[in-house]
Amino acid sequence: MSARSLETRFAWMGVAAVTVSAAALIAGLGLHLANPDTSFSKTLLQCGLVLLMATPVLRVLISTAERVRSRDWIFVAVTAAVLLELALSGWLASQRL
Amino acid sequence: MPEISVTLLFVILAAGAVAGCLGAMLGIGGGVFLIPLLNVGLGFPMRTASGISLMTVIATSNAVAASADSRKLLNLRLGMLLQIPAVAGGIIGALLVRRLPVGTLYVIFAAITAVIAVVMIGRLDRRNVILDTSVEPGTLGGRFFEGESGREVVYRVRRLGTGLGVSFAGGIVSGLFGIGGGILQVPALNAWCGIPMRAAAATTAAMIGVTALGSAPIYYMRGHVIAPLAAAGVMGVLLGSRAGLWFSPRTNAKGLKMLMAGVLAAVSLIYLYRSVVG
Repeated sequence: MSARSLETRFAWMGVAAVTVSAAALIAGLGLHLANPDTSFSKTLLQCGLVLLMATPVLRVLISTAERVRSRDWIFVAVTAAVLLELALSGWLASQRL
Repeated sequence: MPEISVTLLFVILAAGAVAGCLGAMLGIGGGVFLIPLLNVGLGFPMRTASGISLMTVIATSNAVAASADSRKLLNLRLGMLLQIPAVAGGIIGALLVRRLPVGTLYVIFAAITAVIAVVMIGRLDRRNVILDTSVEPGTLGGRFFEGESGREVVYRVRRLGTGLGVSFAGGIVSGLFGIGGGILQVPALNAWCGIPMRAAAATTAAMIGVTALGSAPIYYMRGHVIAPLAAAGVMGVLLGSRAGLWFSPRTNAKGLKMLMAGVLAAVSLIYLYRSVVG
């Protein structure tokens, strides 16, 4: 698997995630402006923000998967270390530390 | 905390657009412009401003990473390696922000940005590139076509340890202030590690979203990310970053460096002022 195909897939997934996240935020913001008290607008906004935060994780996951296929073990170890750190951040957040 | 009104949402949307444009051009995420506006200008608590800023940093980074122009300059191997210390720094910064006095943080940040601004001004005419394209860039180096000079640029990575250390420091700053760690990484990668400005900016811009994720979930779960305000900021940044990516290849490298030095000097003065007045 060449580095070019890695970047191509990286971009496609990134564009999709940015688009869906932006759509959720626009819709949520529009509903919030129309009626700030609706729970649906809050749900949309929260979904948009969570997807926004998930996008960089997706990029790291894709990088890891592609490098496993190309047996680039040093890069796999690097991306795995970053993923572990992100998991630690998520755990710390869940503990509200 | 000001009341969330339609006017306020549009002010934050406009501020996000300006921040996103400059952030995409400079590879510093845009948070550096939003923090003073939200905190000093609009009266939001520092942690709320930081939480919103983190979301805009991630949005800018996502947009830059998805753009075709950016991918030509992106050095993914180097960028991901630098994320190991950067994300660790982000986590430490988010945990430290509750423990350090705010005035101390402002003084440290003002000093750091002032030093980097001086470094940038002092290296306006340095190129840090290998113009012999037959030279191998090495494991972590790269090559790209530079439209300005009309030739291929090849570069090697020097002083990797320094780059890792600066990334760690950039991560801590990201976790403490909600500003993309790129504010430190771009000038350091350029001045000390031999990465051309555009490659350093593109790589950093694509990676600061990962750095921000070291602290963003912690801010989010603490309740420092107010969803409608963050959404307005993010939408503005996404619009502005598109304009920034259009301007970036049409700006000469020297002008880009001067602009960045000016931005850093202004940020330094703002935080110095805040440390004095409290």
